[in-house]
Amino acid sequence: MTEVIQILASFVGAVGFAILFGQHGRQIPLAGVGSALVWFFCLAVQWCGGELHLGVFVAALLGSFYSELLAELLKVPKTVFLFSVLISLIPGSDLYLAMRYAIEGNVELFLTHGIRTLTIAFAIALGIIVMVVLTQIRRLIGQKSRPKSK
Amino acid sequence: MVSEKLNQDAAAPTDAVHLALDIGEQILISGGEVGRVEDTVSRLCTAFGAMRTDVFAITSLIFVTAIWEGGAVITQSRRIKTSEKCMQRLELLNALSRKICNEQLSLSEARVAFAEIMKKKTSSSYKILLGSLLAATAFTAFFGGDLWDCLVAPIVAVVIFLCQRLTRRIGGNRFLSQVLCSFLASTVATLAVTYHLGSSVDHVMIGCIMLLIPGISFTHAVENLIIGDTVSGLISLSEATVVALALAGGFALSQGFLGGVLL
Repeated sequence: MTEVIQILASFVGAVGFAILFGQHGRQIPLAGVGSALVWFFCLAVQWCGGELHLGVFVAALLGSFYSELLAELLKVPKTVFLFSVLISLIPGSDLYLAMRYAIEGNVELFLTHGIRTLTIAFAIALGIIVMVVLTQIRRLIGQKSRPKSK
Repeated sequence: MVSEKLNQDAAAPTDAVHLALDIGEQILISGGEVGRVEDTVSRLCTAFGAMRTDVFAITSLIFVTAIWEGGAVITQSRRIKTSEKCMQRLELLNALSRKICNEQLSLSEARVAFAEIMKKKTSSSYKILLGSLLAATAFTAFFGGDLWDCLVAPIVAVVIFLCQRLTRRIGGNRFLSQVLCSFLASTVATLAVTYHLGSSVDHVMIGCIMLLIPGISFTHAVENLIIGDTVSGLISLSEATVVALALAGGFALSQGFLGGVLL
């Protein structure tokens, strides 16, 4: 049940952020769908016994792929979709808890959540970048196969 | 490579670099990555007739040197102080720069098209409010808040929205406005929970703090660091840390303040 709520919430949340970031028209529901898928895959990896960070990495990779795909189809820059699609992975709760424990003087929990904020951010960033590199490789191959198209 | 039309235009390399910087500046402000800005400015200068262009951009500065045929060397820089994510504008600017490069618009045509884009307003405030409401409520549910928390979240979101609007209008120190936002948000959340409207301050705050965005800048910063835009990455990382500190400060203030009043 929690999972269903989370997937629904990541849809609505991404729609909210898509509006906040100034996306428009059909981009908004598309961002929501992407975000729901991303969260589904993040959970799915964990169901299969994967670690949280692995789940985040895989989900970020797929989310970037989704953004890249839509960007190409709708002829917009990839950044338009990237952050609203990945919004549910962003370690907002860990960041909040880290600073909360910092205020309370609970160094141990502060470090736990603080470090997790960084490592999750790292996992997301890695997912994004691996996708960027994969796209570059694909373009390279595409150019080689038809060298004089222009 | 360069069409004849452009060669006639190349009489005004200074203007060309200026326009390229204008476009680059707006892409950066609307939320484009540093790499995209460097790439765009460089392509634009080439399209306007530069032989060689070197661009360096970080989140707060764009610096470009373009060398024209005949030896004219033009260096300009642009300081960027604001940032207002607007994907629609980013999209239009990106399309414009592609059009300039592919169809080789003349400088004056490009300038008109640019002015046209800038005339379009960025997100209206009712859209921002709607987005905030949806995002805050959904993320409160996402991070485990119950139905009551989801009722408090929109109230806090409205408070944050009003506070952001107010502080933006005053235009004071960013750190202090973040402290104020966080102070008001956590005060309202705590009061609501104290009077049994919501059940957990933490859940409401986690949902609403997503609106104040340090999480996104954190991730973006780490991405920049890995890509190799080290300076931009470090700048955003420290900015995100400062924002997180400001939020923590506001939260601590409100807990201290309410602790004194309620107990």
